[in-house]
Amino acid sequence: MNQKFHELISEASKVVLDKNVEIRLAITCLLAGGNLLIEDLPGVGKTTLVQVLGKLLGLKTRRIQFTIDLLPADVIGGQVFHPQEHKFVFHEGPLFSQLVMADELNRASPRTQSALLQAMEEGEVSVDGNTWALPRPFYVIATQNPHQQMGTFPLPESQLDRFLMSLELHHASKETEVRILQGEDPRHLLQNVKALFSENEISEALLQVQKVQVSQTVANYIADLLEKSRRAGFEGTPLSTRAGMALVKAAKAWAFMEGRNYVRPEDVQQILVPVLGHRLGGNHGIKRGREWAGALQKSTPVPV
Amino acid sequence: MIRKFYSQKALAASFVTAMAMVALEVSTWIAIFSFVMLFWKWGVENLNWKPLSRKVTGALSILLLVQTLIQFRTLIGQEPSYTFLLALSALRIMDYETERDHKFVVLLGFVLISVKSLFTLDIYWIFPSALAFGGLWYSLLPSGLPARSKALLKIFVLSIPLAVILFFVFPRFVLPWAMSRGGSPYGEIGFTDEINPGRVAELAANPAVAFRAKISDLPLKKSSDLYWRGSVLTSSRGLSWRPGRPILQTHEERKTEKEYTYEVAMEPTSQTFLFVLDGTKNVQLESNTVLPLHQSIFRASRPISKPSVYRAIWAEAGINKEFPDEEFLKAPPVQGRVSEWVENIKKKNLSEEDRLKEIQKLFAESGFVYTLSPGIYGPNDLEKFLFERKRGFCEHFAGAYATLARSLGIPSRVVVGYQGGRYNPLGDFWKIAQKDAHAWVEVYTNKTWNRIDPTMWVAPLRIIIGAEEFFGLSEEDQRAFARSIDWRPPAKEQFLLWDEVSFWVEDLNYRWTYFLIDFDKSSQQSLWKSFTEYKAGLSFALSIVLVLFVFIFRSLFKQKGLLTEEQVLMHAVEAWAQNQNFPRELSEPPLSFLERLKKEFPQDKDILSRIAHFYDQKIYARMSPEEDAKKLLQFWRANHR
Repeated sequence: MNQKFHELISEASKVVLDKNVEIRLAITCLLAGGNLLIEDLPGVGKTTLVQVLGKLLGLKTRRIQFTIDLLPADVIGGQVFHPQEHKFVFHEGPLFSQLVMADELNRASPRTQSALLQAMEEGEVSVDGNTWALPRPFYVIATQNPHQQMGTFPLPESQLDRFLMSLELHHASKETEVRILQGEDPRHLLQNVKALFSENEISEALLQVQKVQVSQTVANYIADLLEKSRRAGFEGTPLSTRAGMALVKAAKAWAFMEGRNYVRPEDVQQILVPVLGHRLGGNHGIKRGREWAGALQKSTPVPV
Repeated sequence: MIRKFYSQKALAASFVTAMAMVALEVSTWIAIFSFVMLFWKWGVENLNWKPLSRKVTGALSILLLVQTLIQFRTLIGQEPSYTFLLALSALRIMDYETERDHKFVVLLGFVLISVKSLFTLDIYWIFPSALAFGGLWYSLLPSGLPARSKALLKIFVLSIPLAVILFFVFPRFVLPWAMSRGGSPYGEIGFTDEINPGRVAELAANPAVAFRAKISDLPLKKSSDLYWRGSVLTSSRGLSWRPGRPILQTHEERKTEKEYTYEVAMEPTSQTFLFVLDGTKNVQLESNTVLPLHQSIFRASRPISKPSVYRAIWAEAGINKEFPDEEFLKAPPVQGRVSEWVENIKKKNLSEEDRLKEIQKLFAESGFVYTLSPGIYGPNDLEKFLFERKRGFCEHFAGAYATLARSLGIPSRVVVGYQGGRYNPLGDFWKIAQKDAHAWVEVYTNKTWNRIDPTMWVAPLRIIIGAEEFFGLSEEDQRAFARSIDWRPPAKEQFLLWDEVSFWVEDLNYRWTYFLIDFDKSSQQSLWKSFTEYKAGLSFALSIVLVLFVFIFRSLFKQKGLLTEEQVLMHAVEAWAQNQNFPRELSEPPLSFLERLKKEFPQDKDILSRIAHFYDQKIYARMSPEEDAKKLLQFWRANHR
């Protein structure tokens, strides 16, 4: 089963160059059933990544560009009056898809942000007293600009917590850039990308990920990490138990990708920085958070 | 990395304490020098003062060495070693900058503390020493350690069994210079057996302990009954007296109805006097022979250079009955008004008893003043003392009384020693201080030597309430109360808290000194002897102690006892790798570590893979692996030592 995901990675990296690690982490995040936050400057391939993932996974993908004047109804949808039938009919907004790309999330007003985040948390939306279930699986991949940029509303810590992982997409290497500048644009390959997965296969994979075992030693290690972050002298925001649960989920998915049905401390360390970066950083930004996450890993002994 | 002395509070506090303890023992200039250096360093660290360079401190330390050598002509001995050590410590603090300096300063601190305790074994110094010692240890532990106090406690508990073993088994050496107490050029005022006027008065200003005595078996209960004889003075020069030549007592067996034993624990005096109560028959001193002398006094054969305990046998009827020879009547010719007074009495042809009463009358009724500062008398200023100034101390009264008695034809002698003491109800012992030094008279009447204390008529309070209380009163009060015999010492219930505390500390110090410090070679030997005598009971007790220790250890170091086989295996590999200079970083997962080892040591690839597989299966996958932990461990250990 996990072989097929490795295939997916190699397919995707044909379109998105130089981003193998990030693609793998993004898939891990989706396998763990979590939402993903990508923070980086515009023009490094965020959108392409999401599009190719959606296509390969066979998910219905929509992109919402967040701006400061975007209203919740623009995202969720709203009641529209049908004069022939004399009643209001709910028109689904772009949120009703399986993979939603929330572009530049931190440019939207807090009200719109929270509408999206509530949908992520509850898997349904309520309009005028009626509740509408969102399709399953439902993922949000949000991108945001580094928080020092002009005209941004930074996400509050409680909402950052809703994202399982945060990623940084770095600039492509010089060689790759030279190739792109010479006119080779892999994005045209996007047209030909075919879905590798059926909906059943994905839910089967999700089920298998949940069955991955976590031994006491590994759980101890994660608890040690949490405890260490709460000690006096540690700079980052203290980690909550939910952060620990996120670590477990992501580590399980990573172990599944490795073809194992149990978690090793190595798995935890692989996903540690993406899972903890935005949680530790808080209002210092994800960059600082990632540094602190690295320090936390370095200073926490792995139990033998 | 530059370290600051004063920002390490535990270190600074302990080191300054250690230095202060030693500074009390040296001359003022060196103490002042040291503390100026300490203050300067504080200024350097906190107020950006200019520090002394290493060259200057180096030159200064050589200068100080030279100065010490010039002053004392040696480095061996108490004061020169203190002086140099203190100066050196202060200079090292000035230099304090690096990790290396830190270690050196801690070492110096340990030396300061041990030097202090080599010379002063009093328990009072144990408290600050222990605190300073703990602080120095604390500062040695890495500052990153989260629970430094707990680690310190662990080290302390670990050291207990070793300390106990060393205490009971380690052979004792007597360092000659370590025992030279009181060897300073000035010396403490101690007991001597010559009374020149003013000699005892000097002693009376000294609160140091002379000895402690356990006399609970004896029928003597009041401090006014306790006359500790040290020496007998037989040759009179009027006011001042001298001892005769010591003569060994011939062995005589006297029959008495009942004998009692008491114990005296003496502070070192560097002299041979042993102080005993009236009526003591025999004295036994550990590690030293006792010479019984004429006139019921006892001497040790060698000077008492360390705290010693002697046991004495006392009998109620054991009053000295030796017949006095002519010597006891020799007195210098009396002159002036004294001779007038003597002739006057002689003319009356009174009986012995009445003659003594006449002397008593003279002392009791002509307004003598008992004082520590009677002014200066010459050796034979009897007239000036008796009829003009009338101010004196016990030695004046005793000397004058005995001379008068001899002039009237009654054999008499002066006894010097200590009188009274302070009872410690907690430890049930009497503490006799130097200020209890006293002189009194013995006269030969009715074929026995009888004790007469002229001070009793002049200042009865001194005898009844003891020297400590008496000299605690102001001089006016002393004069006013001196004659009122009704005055009573406070009853036990009225003791103030301070008294309780002082008794308690005094008791602790007594036990500390005599049961811990003086546990020397002979005590060790007798302990081992007693061990062999009580084999069965002893092995039982020892095994209980052993079991207790095991329990304490297990509770302190629990995790050690609860290691699983996999952990033992992994620890073995880690320990081996550590020896190969290839340690596991703490944040490195065990399996990645094994993977790294495999690349580094290809010859061990096989066994490392087996261990990794086993570990992975057992710990992470929670399956029962096909390999056996013990066999793997054996196999590993067989090839990796």
